Amino acid sequence: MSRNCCTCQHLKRPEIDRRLAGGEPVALARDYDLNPSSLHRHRTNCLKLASSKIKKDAVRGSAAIELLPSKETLSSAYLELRARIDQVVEQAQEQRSLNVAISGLNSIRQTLDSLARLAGHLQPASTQVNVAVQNNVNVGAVQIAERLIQAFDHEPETKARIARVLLEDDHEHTS
Amino acid sequence: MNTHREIAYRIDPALWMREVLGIAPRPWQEKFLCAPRGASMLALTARQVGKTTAAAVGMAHSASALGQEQTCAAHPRMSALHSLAGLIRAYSENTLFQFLETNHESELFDRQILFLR
Repeated sequence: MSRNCCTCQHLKRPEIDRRLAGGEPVALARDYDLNPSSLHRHRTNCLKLASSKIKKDAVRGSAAIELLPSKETLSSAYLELRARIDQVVEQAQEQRSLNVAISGLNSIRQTLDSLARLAGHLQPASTQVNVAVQNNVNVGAVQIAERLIQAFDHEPETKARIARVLLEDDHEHTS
Repeated sequence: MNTHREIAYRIDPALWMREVLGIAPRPWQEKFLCAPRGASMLALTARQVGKTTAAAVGMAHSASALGQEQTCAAHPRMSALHSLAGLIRAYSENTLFQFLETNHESELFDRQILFLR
């Protein structure tokens, strides 16, 4: 009967697995109070991740990222494509095979779009939010109240009616 | 506080009394509180009808809702001034009090004066 894997029973197993799959060395065992040998066995036997394979995959991934075109490359490729489209359209018009030429160019454009997306150049435009903070509300209230008191100081009933209307208005806003 | 509500409380002390302090003013108290600025008021009333309360509400409203910097009250009995101060403190927590004595005996009954700042 095989013995139980300590890492499999660890509370933070998902995190450990994620880090191992990311190519981190078994030295990360220290972060989780695990034995490096035990972690190595877990990676090989439980996760079936041989270290050489991880390294190879990581290198391959890095290389793939490095191979993705830069913004500048993509930009020049698009410009080149536009020039070629003009040429092809002219030629196709002469040879009366416009549809074929356009569909071919469309596939090239789609490939470029995919590459640009992979390289992270095609991000949606960020939304700009403008927040204006009005900090003179209280001052306004003081001034308005003072103006009302001055205007209706000798008409207490009018003042009371205005106050009631304002309060009703406030109730409507809050409800 | 909403701007509308704030204006309403500032212009109507009786409303402020009712809504903020939770005390329903009597008709004469309402009339007293809503009197024009600088008006001389004379209230001929019985005992225990809320004279001190009305004065305290008016002063607390001036201090807290209108932001009036200083109010002065005088009374022949110091105990009355203390009860007035106690009420004002209950209605307007941030009001500071200062009891001062004055030498102008002819102007004040018992040389006691209450300043609200």
